[in-house]
Amino acid sequence: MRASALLAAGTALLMSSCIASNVVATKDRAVVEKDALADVVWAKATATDFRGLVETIDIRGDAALSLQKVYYWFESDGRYSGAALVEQDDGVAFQTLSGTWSLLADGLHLDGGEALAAEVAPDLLRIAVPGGTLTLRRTAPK
Amino acid sequence: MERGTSLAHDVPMAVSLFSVIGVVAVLGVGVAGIGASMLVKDRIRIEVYDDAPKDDGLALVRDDVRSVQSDLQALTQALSEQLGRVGEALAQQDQRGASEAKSVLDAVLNLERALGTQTQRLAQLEQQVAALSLRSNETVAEPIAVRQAVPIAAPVPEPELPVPTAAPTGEPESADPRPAETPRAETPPAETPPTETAKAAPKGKAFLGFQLPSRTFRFDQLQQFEVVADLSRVGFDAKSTLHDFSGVTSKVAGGFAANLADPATSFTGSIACEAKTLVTGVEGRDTAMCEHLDTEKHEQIGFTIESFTPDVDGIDAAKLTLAGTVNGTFEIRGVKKAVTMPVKLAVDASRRLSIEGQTKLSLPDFGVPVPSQLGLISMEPDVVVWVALRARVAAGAARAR
Repeated sequence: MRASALLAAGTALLMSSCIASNVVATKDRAVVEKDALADVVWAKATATDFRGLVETIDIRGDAALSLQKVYYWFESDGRYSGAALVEQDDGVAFQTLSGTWSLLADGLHLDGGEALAAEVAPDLLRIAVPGGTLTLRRTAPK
Repeated sequence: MERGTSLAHDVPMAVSLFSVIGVVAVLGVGVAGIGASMLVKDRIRIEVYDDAPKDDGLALVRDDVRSVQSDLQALTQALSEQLGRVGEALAQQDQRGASEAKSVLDAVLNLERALGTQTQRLAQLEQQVAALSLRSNETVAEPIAVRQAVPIAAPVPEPELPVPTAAPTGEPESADPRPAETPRAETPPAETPPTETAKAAPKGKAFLGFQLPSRTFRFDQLQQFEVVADLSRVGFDAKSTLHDFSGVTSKVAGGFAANLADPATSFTGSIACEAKTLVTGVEGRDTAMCEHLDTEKHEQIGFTIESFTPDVDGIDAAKLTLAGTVNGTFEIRGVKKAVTMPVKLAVDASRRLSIEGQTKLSLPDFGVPVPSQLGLISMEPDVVVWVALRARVAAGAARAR
């Protein structure tokens, strides 16, 4: 009996030295990998970057208080359509809109409006607007 | 006798003679005087001299000085009166100007409010028109995909994009090296009028054409926060004979109301996680853990936030951070116990509140059996419970504000 107990204890000690700790590090407790976009290298957007479906992966600024998700569909002929999941006082609802886009030397123009700063990275599009910044990821319609 | 007679006769004659001579003399003098005056009348100059003492220039100067002083006093008095009137006039003018400026400012503010109201009404009308248009076209909207949970970056500085300043050139970008799918892709129309029915709100009151409620994060006001489960984790770290491990779950929900600038007076709420969703990475251990936590009967592990004690200098409204201790009641396996947990809160770039904290709990205090295998492989009774939460201002919170 004593021998078996010693054997078990020895085995436990040996195992404890083999099994790695499975503790979540303090810095890894948060869900999101911090600075996920920090290393992204942004470049000035070109017209061909505005094509297809993109969805937000990051919304910053006060717009984030009410915007939960934004989708844009850009047509190569200058048309676009967008949908935003907006959190309003009476609930969450999608808003949709359609119009035209153009990329000029001073930035992106939606419906002939003021220029918006637009930058791109592989599969990413970033649009800065007073009140918030959207980072959108290219995605495929299903 | 003759002599006497002649004498008596001669006296009256002498008297007459003298009378004649006298008259002649007087006439002669008179004529002479008249003649003389005729001769010298143009040469006569009459000068009148004052009998007052002459010279004494000092007295004259004094007199002049007194006169000047008198004049000066009169002028000073008159000038002060005039200046007083001018001052009064200027003051009245200033008051009128300030009053006019205030009335103009009020008018501008009223106009702005009216413009905002009209803009909102216009947006609503446009939406109604668009909806009517859709109905008339019998267009059925396709269901839109439910929001996908997308992990969003944690606190990072707001990206700084170059601010567009140049005037539109009318030239589209064409330097992209990638092949174009269609030729016209390279040259989207620069100023083509919208071809689709825009159901967006008017520009200026919208964000990228979408109509958003005007919300701002208010650090110094009572706000209702709700936990964003997809971005939150809670768990525990335990030590055992073989190795240390953690149990983690993202099935967390709850919320709290807090004035982050004054948490001592207003910070209450509750957070709970689904106990059976805790995973440690070892399936058998998870099963045993559920048994020990009796998750069939006590599905949730909860923490009721009762108050908040901020650290000294723990409130930084400028950096939007808060540090302190949450005081509340932990409930595990149906057993409640008062607990304090030091936490740090910060507002990230997406205006979400990140909450991180941990505290040590003793499992026996909550009636949780401490796992042990044959008495050789055992777990320490104390575990570190931690939270890494993200909370956002709750929908409808604006109404409460």
